[in-house]
Amino acid sequence: MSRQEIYSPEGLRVDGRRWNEIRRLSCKINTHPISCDGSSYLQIGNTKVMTMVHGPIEPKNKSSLLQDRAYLTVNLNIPSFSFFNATTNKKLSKNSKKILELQVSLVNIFQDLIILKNYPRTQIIINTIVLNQDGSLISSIINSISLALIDSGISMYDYISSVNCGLFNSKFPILDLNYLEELDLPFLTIAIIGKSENVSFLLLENNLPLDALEKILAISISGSHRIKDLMDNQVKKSSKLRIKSINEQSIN
Amino acid sequence: MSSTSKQNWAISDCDAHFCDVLVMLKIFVPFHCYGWSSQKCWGAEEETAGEAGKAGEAGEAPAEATMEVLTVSKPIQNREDFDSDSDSDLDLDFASPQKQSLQNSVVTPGELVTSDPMLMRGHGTYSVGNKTYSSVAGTISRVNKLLSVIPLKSRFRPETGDHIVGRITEVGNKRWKVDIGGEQNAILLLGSVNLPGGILRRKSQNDELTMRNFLKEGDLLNCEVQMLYNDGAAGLHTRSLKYGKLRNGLLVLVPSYLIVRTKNHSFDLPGNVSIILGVNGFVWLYKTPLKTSLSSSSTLKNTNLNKFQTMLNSDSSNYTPGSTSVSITRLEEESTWEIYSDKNDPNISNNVRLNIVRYKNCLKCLSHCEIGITKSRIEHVYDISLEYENSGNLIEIEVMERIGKDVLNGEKMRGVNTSKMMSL
Amino acid sequence: MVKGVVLSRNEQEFLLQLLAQGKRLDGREIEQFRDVEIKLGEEYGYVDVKLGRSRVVVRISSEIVKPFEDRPFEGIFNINIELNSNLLLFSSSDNDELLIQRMIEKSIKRSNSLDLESLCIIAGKFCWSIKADLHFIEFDGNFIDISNLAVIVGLLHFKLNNVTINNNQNASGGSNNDQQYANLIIHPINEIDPISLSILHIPISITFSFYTSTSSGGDTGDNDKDNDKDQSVICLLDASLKEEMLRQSFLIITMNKNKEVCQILKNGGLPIDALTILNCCNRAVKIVDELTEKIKSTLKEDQLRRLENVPLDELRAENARQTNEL
Repeated sequence: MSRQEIYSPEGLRVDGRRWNEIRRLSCKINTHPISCDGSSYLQIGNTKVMTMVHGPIEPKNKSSLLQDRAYLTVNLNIPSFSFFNATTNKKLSKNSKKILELQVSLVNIFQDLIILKNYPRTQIIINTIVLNQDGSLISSIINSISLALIDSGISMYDYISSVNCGLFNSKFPILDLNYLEELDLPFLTIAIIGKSENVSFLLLENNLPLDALEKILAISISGSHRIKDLMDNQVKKSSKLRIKSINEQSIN
Repeated sequence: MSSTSKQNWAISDCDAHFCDVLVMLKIFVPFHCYGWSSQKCWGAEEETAGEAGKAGEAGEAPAEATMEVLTVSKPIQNREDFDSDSDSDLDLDFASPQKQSLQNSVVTPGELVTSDPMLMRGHGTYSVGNKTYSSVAGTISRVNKLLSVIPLKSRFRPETGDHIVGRITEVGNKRWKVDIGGEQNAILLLGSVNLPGGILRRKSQNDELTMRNFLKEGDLLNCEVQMLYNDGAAGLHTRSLKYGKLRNGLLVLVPSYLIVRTKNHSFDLPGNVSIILGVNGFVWLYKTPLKTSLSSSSTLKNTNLNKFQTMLNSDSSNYTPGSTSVSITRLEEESTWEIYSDKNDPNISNNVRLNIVRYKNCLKCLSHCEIGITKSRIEHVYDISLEYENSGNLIEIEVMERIGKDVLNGEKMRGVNTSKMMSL
Repeated sequence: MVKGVVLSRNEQEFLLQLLAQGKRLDGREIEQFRDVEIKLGEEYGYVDVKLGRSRVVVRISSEIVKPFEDRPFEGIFNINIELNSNLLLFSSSDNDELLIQRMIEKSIKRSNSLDLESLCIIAGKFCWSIKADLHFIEFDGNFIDISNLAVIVGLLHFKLNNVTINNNQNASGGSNNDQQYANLIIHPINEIDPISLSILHIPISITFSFYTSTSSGGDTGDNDKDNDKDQSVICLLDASLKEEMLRQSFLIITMNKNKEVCQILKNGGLPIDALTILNCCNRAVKIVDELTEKIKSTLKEDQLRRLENVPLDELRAENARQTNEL
């Protein structure tokens, strides 16, 4: 088995990227125009996530009815075929701790991003399916949900974009890790609001020396801004296309 | 210590409704350029000095070598630049401030719309201090001093007076909850429906307990929006003969923005089929009822007028009290238990059924091509669709697109002014 | 985060206005930690930690089990959290319990503070399974910091029974697998001194709570968002219950004395500037140092106390050394 270097002395990673390159990002919105109010599909590298947003709709049960604002629900589905090594019989059930924790985090993130008080006594349901995982799972989910919410026309303060960033040999920061790199390097996942530097979500689960934290934060903020631009471009393109097709019908 | 940056773009073909943006970023920074300065990390050219004011950040001096991280696209405009751009755009287009004009520029959440404090902020925006930002992805609309952003997509928002079709979801305490495809369920109070026996009939305790005999969960009805509550929910009423429970037909859901608010929403279509275009996108296709009962308000008025004329002309001795008030008598006659019956007409012929299905496919066709739905267009599409004997063929995508184009072309030929058929 | 007990509007506004003036409800400084009291029990692995009015009891226990199939060289470590039902008034749904459990697991397990490989006795066959049981006696805010502290102190305090492996090999020496079996002798504590767990570093959690200065909990007007950069964000350390109920977001940093960040979590809520986060990390260093010192000194005291009654001089095996008097 060839020993692959996470970061070669020439500055190349396993897939040929440099330390500050993100993988190819492609996204679509309005992928499910009939079955839900807003939908998106996001693919970064090999990680593929699809989100559908229903709402604002009448709450499903009385406990989800809040008088002054909307009630936000996030359902995350990570099927076993999405795992990196699909041969292992990994089952991530709906009630497993990992998924519950992620769902709670996502609700917390988006509760402050959506202008919930515009939709009293309603419910907003976000359903996310992870189709394939190759690193940056949480980031892709956050990005995908952000796009789907924009597509559904729900009022939001700004975009939220997310990326992960690791540290190699305690010296070199590496941006946008894939699965293999995540296994080896300590990394953090960060979600930023729009073009600001305000951090909405920050997760670090490995050991990282404090001195390196500043570097990593800096590069990941840049990375998030870049991803926000890419998503914004896509939304604008789709929107313009739609407006064009609508305007074509109005004959001047 | 210069850093070279190469930029590669790859944009795939756009298809009709959405497109992929594939962007490959490649930046080559020589290894020895790793002078870390957090300040430079933020694609330095774009951020305002204020935001990047990291003077206090660990007291680090900016290194000489700059890491131009991830700067691939065109430099993003400064907030200030954008501000002046958008303002000047607004000024240019709104030379005639009276007219409502829609800008073609698309704004996305978080984008600065204007810094002008003199404008009032409408829907789709939020303000921080003097600056107004958009909160949805949509187009800017400025009517005199009201600035709002109209989202490209939103659920149906009821307005007072809308003629809509809804489905009962819940039978509650002196009210029904009706699903109208909006953000909240609408409310239909017991006092807002016609109960058998005429409008002067008093609501009794019994009525409350037997609400299910009138309307139960799953029933479809057409009604009008009477009022809007504080939180945006609609209050409905069916206090007219043209409203009430629906029978003998098929419900079709189309996007709500394709239906225009007009004076009349119920039509008769060729083929013994009638249609009710609910403004909320719920369309009801049904067999045209026999003309003995008065189904449209215009005929009601006519007969009233005739009767009144005859009354005037006739001998005063023939006057019977209450006979001039024709409408009430009519309501009493019509408001029998039949209006809440659940039984369909047993004599619906196969022909009518096939026609209903064909009309449904026509509607699907119009909604797929995102063409505004009106009576004339439906008839037009129906005519075109008669080419296809099997109406099942109508739902193929190529067929739908072809028909859509035909409709639009046909209107162009006829010079019909179809400006702004969409109500977003 | 907390439901059940709801603060009245008056209390909310009062507290927030106090914070805006830089004062706290109990008179502490904005960045003052409450007093930490660590009581170590008679038995190894029993710890009672008090942080102001919050109180947590931890019990570490061990047993010998078969290790996991895919990890034959590692022991097992589990954390179990019990929230009393009278505390359920203060804590919200399972989310809180879940969050605490995950936090502590991550800070101790994933950061490798407890060396699992040292728990292995015979690879693939026997290993120690350590269980930490947490019981919350009283809750006045700051679940996470106190739980983390208690568990790590418990692990440091706990001692494993000494184990000897008695390998018996069959004389015929046929196939190794069948004939070879091992005897484990577990020595009770009073016979052979137990051994401490191998703790590689001491991770300490610090929770920062954030508030914006102008928020009053009410509507400031439609479509207004108080997210200007000019607005200052108040950063509290060690929030009490009421402060926790009102906070708009929080940040949990787990660090050890070697300036290694083991874990950071900021779970949504009010977005905070990255610079503020870095500042918090830097401030946490000092507190972590203090707390680590406190833990070490407490453990040392306890050790000395236990050895008080032990006649050390008698136990020494070496001869007395003569002092050269010349």
